[in-house]
Amino acid sequence: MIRGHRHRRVSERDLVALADGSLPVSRRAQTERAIAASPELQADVCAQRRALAAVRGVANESAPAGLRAGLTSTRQQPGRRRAPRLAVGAAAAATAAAIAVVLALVSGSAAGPTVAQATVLAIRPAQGPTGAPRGEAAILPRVRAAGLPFPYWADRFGFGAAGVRRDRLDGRLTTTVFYTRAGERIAYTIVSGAPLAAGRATLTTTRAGTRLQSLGVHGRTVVTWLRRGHTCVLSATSVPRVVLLRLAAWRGAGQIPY
Amino acid sequence: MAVAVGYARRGTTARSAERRLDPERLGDHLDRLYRAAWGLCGSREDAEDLVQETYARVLAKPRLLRSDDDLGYLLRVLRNTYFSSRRAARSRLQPDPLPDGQDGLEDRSLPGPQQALEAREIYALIAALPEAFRDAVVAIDVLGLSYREASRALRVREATITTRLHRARLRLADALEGNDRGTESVMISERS
Repeated sequence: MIRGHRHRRVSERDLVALADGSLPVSRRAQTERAIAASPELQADVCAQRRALAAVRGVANESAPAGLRAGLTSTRQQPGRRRAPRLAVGAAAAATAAAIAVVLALVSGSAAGPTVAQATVLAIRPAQGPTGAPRGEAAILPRVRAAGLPFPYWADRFGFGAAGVRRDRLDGRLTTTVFYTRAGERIAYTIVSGAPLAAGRATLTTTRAGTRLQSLGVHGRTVVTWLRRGHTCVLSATSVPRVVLLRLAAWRGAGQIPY
Repeated sequence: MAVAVGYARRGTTARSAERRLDPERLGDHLDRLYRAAWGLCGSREDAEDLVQETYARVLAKPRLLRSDDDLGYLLRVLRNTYFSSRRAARSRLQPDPLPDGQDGLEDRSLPGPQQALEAREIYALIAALPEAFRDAVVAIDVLGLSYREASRALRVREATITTRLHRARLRLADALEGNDRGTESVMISERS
């Protein structure tokens, strides 16, 4: 019961239940009579309804698409064996002759995150801007991951850096730079630490001495490779795989360390 | 209500009252759990991470529930994950959060700017409540559990939950009024 003898028939439970509409009918009349007789209780219920309206007003907030994709990815975590899958798109078919096809079965390894999980970061929004390079630089200023710079593609390929975000993936620090060109978006993630398992069937090719693996994850085309032992993940939904391969292998006249 | 929950032990037969948590149905609770996580953390980005970690924990092993309230169980795992991740975060390198206004990519699941602003303010106010009050608001007003379900999920008496909820709402109302006063004074000073 609250607030002395005048309101002894009204409990806090009655007040919260009246405010949120869960008060049983059997208690309603008595509670409403007590409230009608007390400005103090009226103010109490009004305040509660105000708070409740504010909370309910934002109750239509949906989970971000990236989180939903992440749940799907988590549900498909290794630990149980799956049948091998080979994702080959139209662009892949066009260049298939030049590519050595390697079927990598799902590893089933429980150690560390996978490339598929890292790809989920590509769906999240950027957290901040990136700077433009000075002069002829082929790398973005100030953005580094595991000591590695990100490439500057705007002049050469038309993909301008649109933003950057940083996350932790299973305790690993990850940095993702987003590049855009005429409605196309590419996410470039560097995951620090030991190489990630692809976790899916991949196509492997070598360009400019770099071994590149490509795969499909959540409808995205993904290319992954290593730079100084750290995993790089390049992914997009509307950019052909051959373009991703070319971007991944570009070394900016030696300015981009591999 | 998920009264007692545990791992499904290999080689044992679950009692008839127990059932296994269905991983395929976890997605049904995603939106509500995300909002609850936002209320706990006060930040959208941290809420995403928290929900993802919660689901990863839940899916790591088969889970047995004694009744059909998945949500109450998930709230408990969410809270435990929140507290353990907060402890771990103290000793870990943190990426600096940057202003949301600098988001560069379209995510159609995200709300409009005004709605996002309101949501951010309200969830921040919830997260700033004292822990016990915040838990009550998150369980009942955000997640939508009944008082009984919330009391079981949070393992406190029902009367305690309603008392905390009552005080939490009054504090929230005060805080909202303070925010409104702040906004009003800004508007007045802009006009003058």
